[in-house]
Amino acid sequence: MSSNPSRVPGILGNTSLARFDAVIVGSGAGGGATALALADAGLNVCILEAGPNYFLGLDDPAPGNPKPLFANDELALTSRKLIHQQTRVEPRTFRPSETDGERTVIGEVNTLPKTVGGAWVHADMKVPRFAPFDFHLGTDLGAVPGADFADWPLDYSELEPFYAEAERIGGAQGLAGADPFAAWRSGPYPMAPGAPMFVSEVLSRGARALGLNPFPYPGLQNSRPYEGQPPCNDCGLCSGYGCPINAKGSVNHLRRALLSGRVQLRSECTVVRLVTDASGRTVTRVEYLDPEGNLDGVSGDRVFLAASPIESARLCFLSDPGGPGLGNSSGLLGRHLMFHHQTIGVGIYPMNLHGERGKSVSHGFSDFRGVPGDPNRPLGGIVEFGTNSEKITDAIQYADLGFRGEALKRFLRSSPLGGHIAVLIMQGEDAPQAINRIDLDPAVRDINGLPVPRITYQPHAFELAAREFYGPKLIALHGASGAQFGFVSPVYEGGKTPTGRHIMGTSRMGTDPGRSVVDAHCRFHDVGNLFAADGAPFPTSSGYNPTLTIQALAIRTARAAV
Amino acid sequence: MLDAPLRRRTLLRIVSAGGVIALAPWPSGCGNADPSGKPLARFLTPDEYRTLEALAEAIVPEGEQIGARGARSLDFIDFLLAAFDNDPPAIYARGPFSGRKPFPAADGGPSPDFPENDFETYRPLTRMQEHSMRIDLYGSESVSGGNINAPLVPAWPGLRAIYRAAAATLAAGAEAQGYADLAAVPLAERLGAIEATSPEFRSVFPVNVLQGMFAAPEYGGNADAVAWRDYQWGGDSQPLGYTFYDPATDTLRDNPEQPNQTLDPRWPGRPLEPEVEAFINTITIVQGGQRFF
Ligand SMILES: Cc1cc2nc3c(=O)[nH]c(=O)nc-3n(C[C@H](O)[C@H](O)[C@H](O)COP(=O)(O)OP(=O)(O)OC[C@H]3O[C@@H](n4cnc5c(N)ncnc54)[C@H](O)[C@@H]3O)c2cc1C
Repeated sequence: MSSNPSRVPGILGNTSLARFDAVIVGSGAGGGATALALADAGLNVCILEAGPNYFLGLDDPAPGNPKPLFANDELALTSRKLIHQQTRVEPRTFRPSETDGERTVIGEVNTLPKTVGGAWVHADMKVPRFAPFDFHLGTDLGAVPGADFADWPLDYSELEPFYAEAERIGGAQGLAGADPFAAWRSGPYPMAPGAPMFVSEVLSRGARALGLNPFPYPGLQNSRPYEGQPPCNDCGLCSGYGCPINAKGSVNHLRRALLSGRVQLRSECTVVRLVTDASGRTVTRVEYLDPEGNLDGVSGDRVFLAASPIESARLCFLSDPGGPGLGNSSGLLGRHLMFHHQTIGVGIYPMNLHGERGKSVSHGFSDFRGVPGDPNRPLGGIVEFGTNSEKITDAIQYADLGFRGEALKRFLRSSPLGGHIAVLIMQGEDAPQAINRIDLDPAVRDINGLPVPRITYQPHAFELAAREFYGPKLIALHGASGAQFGFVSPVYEGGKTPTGRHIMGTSRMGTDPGRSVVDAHCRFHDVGNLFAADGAPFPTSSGYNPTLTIQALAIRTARAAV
Repeated sequence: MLDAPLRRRTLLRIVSAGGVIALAPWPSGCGNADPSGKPLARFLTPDEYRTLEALAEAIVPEGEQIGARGARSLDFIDFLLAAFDNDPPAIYARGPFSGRKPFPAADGGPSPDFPENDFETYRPLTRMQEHSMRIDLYGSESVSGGNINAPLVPAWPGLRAIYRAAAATLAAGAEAQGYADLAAVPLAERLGAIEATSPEFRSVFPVNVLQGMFAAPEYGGNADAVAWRDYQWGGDSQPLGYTFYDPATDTLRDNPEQPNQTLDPRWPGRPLEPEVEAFINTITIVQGGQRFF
């Protein structure tokens, strides 16, 4: 049945498939997991992906595949944005609130990579699970003025088997029991933790001295050979980089799906509209621009939106020009947009922490995630031990500060914000607010002539209070770890363009069609064959990195949709 | 004995290790080459190059550690400006490996086998990448739809025009002061000359100079990775990396020469120089942070 590997340029997988049971928009973390779950259930699937493919042999069953075309190349990946959205041709817009006019920024706003494998290719693959209480914060917190905390229409125990499945397919390393605050698990991690980074050793000592509980951060970088993939060799350029040796689990779901013979992936195909029947309750065709920019289309019995919450919601708005947006009878489409509110404790150390070695983050702690309703332990988030791995980025920040000549050279030599920096990144819970949303910008277009997403976002007092509470503790931790200086970075204070890469909300899930966009199985209340398979359905953001939960939820959604 | 056929770079390393030849993969000023061995195209005239290099030298002067001139940042810039005169355009090196580090051996440590240099060839661009980079270099008028958001987004003149105009302005300024060219102006006075150039140039030039210094050498600057060494940064480390997996013991161990888990005694970090320390101290105070010692 399989025609793998494909010999048709731009198409991966089984090129002979002509009729599809499902169409998936986006091949990232959620899209890949959905594709595999659907293919396993015997469905024929077409994935439409806006970005290019940089994995040679992704659909080739021969051992040693895929061979990524990613490199430790900071210029290509970071400076020239090889796989990132190119904001000269695809800008986004931003304003802090509706009272700030049509927009205050045009350019880069929360963009994620566009490539086969999605942003998960660029991620450094930290995969903590959410805590059981994350699924019922609406009940636990009660009314919080200005925020819309809501319970998820499922609980942790229902998602646990899907977490385990996502960890097994992705290849998770970690140590069960090492984080005293972690959710219960039905089994151990597939792999033991990999090597700790130097910065983690330094910060873990300080954390333990303060009575905190550092642990090896669970991640999808192999610590051993795993199912034909090599172990991670700690090359350092992990966050923001595809893995040159394929030691990350970025495309494991996708590859298995492609090898099933039931999946076809068309790359460089940007979906621009979901066409419905006259009732508006069934998507009949998915229209896209092919690699040359020509309009084409494909049909499937079911359609899964996995384009990441901002683009998925944009697509629903684009599909109903002049109307409220496809699937928006609740008026909540695009709303409750959440990022994690990152509180970043910066420490400057006397020694070189050589962040260009390791896997960007190898340790962290959950003590600051907090306990719902406990004023002495407000809801913050998991804390990552990070540093700076990039040299061009390090150098440019001193030029951006205005230094030139001998002064610039002193900074380049000393590298205070490069080799000497350690960062404690708290992924703080971001309270869901209906006023934080995406809609279509009334005037700004992408190069294809389509309205771009406009992000309206400001932090809530809830996360700012957590920042106030935990910020000084992050500074104290730097002191206990031997830093010379410690301060909290000003990023993300109100009015600034948000830069978060953890994107959630815009199609919140729930059982009441008047108060949610998708149902308990992520099916749009209004459109019977349309499903959300990215972070869009999350009613709350939690304080843990979201992507394992995106994948677990996507698998559950796909199984229910069959 | 090696089972695999000797690869070109393996041979070079072996020969160079034996002291037979000095390995000089990027002869000064040659820059990169396309697969046919043709040197990358250039854009700047020799005079423009000289003028801009004189300014780059003022931005990052030479000294104990290499500066912008020694690292050949201007080659990097020149190749960028002419990127579309190569096929495929010389924008994104292909990867995955540069050949600077070897493959791991069976025990995870370095083998004598080095990969080919895949940074010497470039990737074909997607439609969106091509539009974006053409706008960057040739201006928003150059691409259909490039000005779609005017006047909300002002027209972008393109780096080629920006650099050409700046070089002319800088040369004229030096001449007006009675110098033959900018390179003849004393280093301490050169930085002031940038004030006469466009705001676009003033914002992109320092960035491009630093990219040239610290990007992979195949892009034209950072000749022989000198800036990475001088400023103590590891550079691209694949396919060897920093930890070695030994299947016999099922363990990961650090590269003893460049440890991952501990302080590197070779590169322990230079102490913050007094001016740098004073600056960090100020940020710390402004941000309400703490100085611990
Ligand atoms: C540098 C970096 C580090 C990160 N580290 C972590 C981490 O450690 N842990 C963690 O949990 N998360 C991390 N993240 C976030 C993580 O990558 C995302 O949460 C995750 O990839 C989201 O999955 P997704 O499927 O929703 O979207 P994506 O993975 O972004 O995939 C969406 C895909 O849809 C495609 N697409 C968009 N619009 C269209 C369209 N109109 N037509 C066709 N295709 C379209 C895009 O090209 C993209 O490939 C990181 C992100 C970045 C950028």
